[in-house]
Amino acid sequence: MSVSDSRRPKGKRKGRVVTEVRCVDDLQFALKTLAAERSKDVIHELERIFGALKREFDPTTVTMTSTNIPDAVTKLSSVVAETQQATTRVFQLVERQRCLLEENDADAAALEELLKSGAINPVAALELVSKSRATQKALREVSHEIVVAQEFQDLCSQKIEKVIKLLGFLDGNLRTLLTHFTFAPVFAQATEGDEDNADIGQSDADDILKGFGI
Amino acid sequence: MVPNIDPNIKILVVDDHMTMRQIVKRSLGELGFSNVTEAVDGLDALSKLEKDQFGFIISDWNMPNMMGLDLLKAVRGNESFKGIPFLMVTAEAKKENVFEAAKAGVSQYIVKPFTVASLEEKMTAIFAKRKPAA
Repeated sequence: MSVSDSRRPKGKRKGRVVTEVRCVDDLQFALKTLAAERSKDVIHELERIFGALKREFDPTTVTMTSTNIPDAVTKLSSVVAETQQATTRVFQLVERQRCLLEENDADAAALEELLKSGAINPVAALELVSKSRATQKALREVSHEIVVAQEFQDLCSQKIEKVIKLLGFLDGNLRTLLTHFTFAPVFAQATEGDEDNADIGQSDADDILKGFGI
Repeated sequence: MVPNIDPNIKILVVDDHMTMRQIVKRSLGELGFSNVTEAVDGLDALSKLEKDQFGFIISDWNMPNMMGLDLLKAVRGNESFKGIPFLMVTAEAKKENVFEAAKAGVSQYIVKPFTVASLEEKMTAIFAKRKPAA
C-alpha cells in the first residue's frame, strides 16, 4: 500500500511532532483506502480516533509543553530559593532588632541610675539620650528592611501564577485526550471525592487523635 | 515555660527545610527550651538518637531518605527510644495520614502553619500524660 506525498501536510515543520503528525496523516489516508474495500464501520471508527489524536497532538500543544515544563520547574525552584533567602534575612533582622532593643534597655537603665543618684551629669545624660535616638533610628531601618524582605512574595506569586496557568492548560488537554481513550471516568474518580485524601484542619486532626485516646 | 517539662530537656527537631527547623527552634526558645538538636531527615535523626539521649522528638512528615512516619515507626520499634514523646508537625493534613500516625504511636500532631501557643498546648498535653521526672 503506498501513501501519496500529496496527502502529507504541506509547509516546512520541524522535529518529532511533525513526524508524528505525518504518520497520523499517512495512517488516515491508508485507512480511507482500506475503508473503500473492507469493513467500513470499523475503519471509520479508527479514522475518527486517529483524527482526534491528531488534534490532540497539535504542534502548539507540544511546543507549549516542551518549552514550558522545564521553565515551570525553574520557576518553582526559584520560588523555593527566594522564600528561603527572604526567611533567612528576616531571621537575621529580627535577631538584630532584639540586640538593639537590649542595648536600648541598658541605656534606659543607665539613665535611670544617673537620675536616681541625684548627681545630674548633663553631658552623660545627653550622651545616653543621643545613643537611644541612634538605636531608635537603627530599629526603624531594621523594620523597613523586614518590610522590603517581604517583596519576594510578590515575585513568587507571579511565578506561581504562570505555573498554575500551565498546569491548567495541561490538565485541560490531558482530560480531552483521556476522553478519547474513554479513561475519563477513571480520571475523574481519582481526582474527586476521596475523603481520606482531603486536607483537614488542626481540629479535625485533634478529633482523630482523640478517637485513638491520644 | 511549659508545665511538667524540664526546661533542659533535650529536643530533637527533624525537618529537611532549614527554615522550618529554625521556626520550630525559635518557637521552642520562646517557650524556654534551648537544648535543641537538628536533624535533616529520618535517617539523620536515627543516627543522632543512637548517639545521644533525647527527651522529645518533633518531626516533619515529608522528608527525603526517611519520612516522618517511618521515623516514628522506627522510634516506636526500638527498645531504647520507644518511650520518647513524638510530635508530628506537618503540612500533610490528610485524614489518612493522621490515622497512620496515630496507629504508629504519635504523641500529638500539629498542622502547619502553627503558632507558639499551639506548640505549647500540644507539649503540655503530651507531658501532662507522663509522670513528672523524679
